[in-house]
Amino acid sequence: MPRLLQPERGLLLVSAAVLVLALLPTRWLAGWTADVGAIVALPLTPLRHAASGAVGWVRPEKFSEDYDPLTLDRLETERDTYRGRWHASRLKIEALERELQQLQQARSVGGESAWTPRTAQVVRHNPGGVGGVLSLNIGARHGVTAGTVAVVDGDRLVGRVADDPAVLTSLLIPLGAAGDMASEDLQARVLPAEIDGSRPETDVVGYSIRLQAVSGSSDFEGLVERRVDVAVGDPVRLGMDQAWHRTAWGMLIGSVSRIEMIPSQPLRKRVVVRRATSPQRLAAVTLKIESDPQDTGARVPDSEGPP
Amino acid sequence: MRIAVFILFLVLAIVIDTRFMEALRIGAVLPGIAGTLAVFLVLCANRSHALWACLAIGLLMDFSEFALYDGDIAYCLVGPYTLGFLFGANLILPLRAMVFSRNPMTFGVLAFLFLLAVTVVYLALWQIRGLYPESPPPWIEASILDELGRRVLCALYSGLVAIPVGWFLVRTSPLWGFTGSVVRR
Repeated sequence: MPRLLQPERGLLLVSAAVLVLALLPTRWLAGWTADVGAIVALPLTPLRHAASGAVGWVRPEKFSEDYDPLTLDRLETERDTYRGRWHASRLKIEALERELQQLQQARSVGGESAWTPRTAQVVRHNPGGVGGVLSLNIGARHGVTAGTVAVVDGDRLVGRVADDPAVLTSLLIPLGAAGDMASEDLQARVLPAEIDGSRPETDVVGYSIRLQAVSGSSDFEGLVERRVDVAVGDPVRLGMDQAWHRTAWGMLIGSVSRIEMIPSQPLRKRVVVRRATSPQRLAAVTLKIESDPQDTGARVPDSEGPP
Repeated sequence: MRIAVFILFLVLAIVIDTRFMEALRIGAVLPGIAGTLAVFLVLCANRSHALWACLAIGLLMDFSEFALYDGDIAYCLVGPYTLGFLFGANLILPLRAMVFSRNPMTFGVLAFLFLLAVTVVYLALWQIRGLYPESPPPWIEASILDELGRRVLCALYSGLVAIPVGWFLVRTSPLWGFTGSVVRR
């Protein structure tokens, strides 16, 4: 008796079905395909975790001093965490003062929110891709929600979690990822590389700049007035950008890599900012998870002052 | 062909491609071994098994890649790699009677050609999908030509990596239980 479905015919049918799927409108694919992807990824996650460790073993990060790695990690994390909070606090203070003056209304800008740092391993990136979505090994069960901010080294902004994180995994949209609307137009602050008490107030809060992603690279660019004192190497931090969760405000986006004069706009200059992180190289990130009242983990309230 | 062996190698290839190959990154250029596995199967398995295996590899690759819709909704597009791997397999199948399938250099050349074919389908599908609103392709290169150039370099790098990987796969061929329908040289 002939088989109902010959292998070649079956392959043709499946290929046709895949072609139809590939051409369906994106809104019909969004959501459920990511869930299927998460289910497919589930059995592979432990192996990917092991592969992440292997990547770190093959290409270890280099340190200039011979310290105990655990101590060094802890000290660096503490230093950078407090540095990030310090800058975030400055931005908040400035915002409060401005609101007080303009609106005569004392209103905290996210001052009461607290977050819990939680380390997540990067278990997957887009095959062969650059700047794509990363997959993390923790999800909604661990308190991850849409928009949860990811950092490394305490204050270097990596990105944010995509909508609808799965129970055990989540997808991280890196800063500047293709198609990420929150990265297309960033409200940022340029600060001087070295800050001390003798500098004027503008040096402490920095200069406001709107950054746009430069197509074809991971850099950002923006315009500032020519009189603004900006130098190559100055750090650039996220301002109070409403597209980002408040735990991202004040985090480091990158540093000024180039400053160019614009012949057509003699009163302005273009600032090119190089991103502080390379998400595709990361083995782990720290998620700033908004604290659950029942969570007994260590908390880092944003409203706390600088050390 | 033994399905269990195929699944084992498929899982290893996907895990290595989606995570471990970061260790071999040169700038934006990454190698991959899934294409080499597909070429190995096309050269050694019978036609039907080879095509189904390539479809499976492509499908898993598609479910390993996420793009963004409307700014922050992640989704997997089923098709670019699946159809690309099928297309590549159909290009390599007529060549298998003409090559020395046990020679590692064969894997280097064929993996490069195979991945070029995959790239053509991949870029074409994503470019067509660019017509839909809020559906940018999942690459950051400024234009499709830039991405094509990057992927050609990736294919070249993968071709180099395919030489030792192909040698290893040939050594494992007794495990696979291939039937002798294909001429071995």
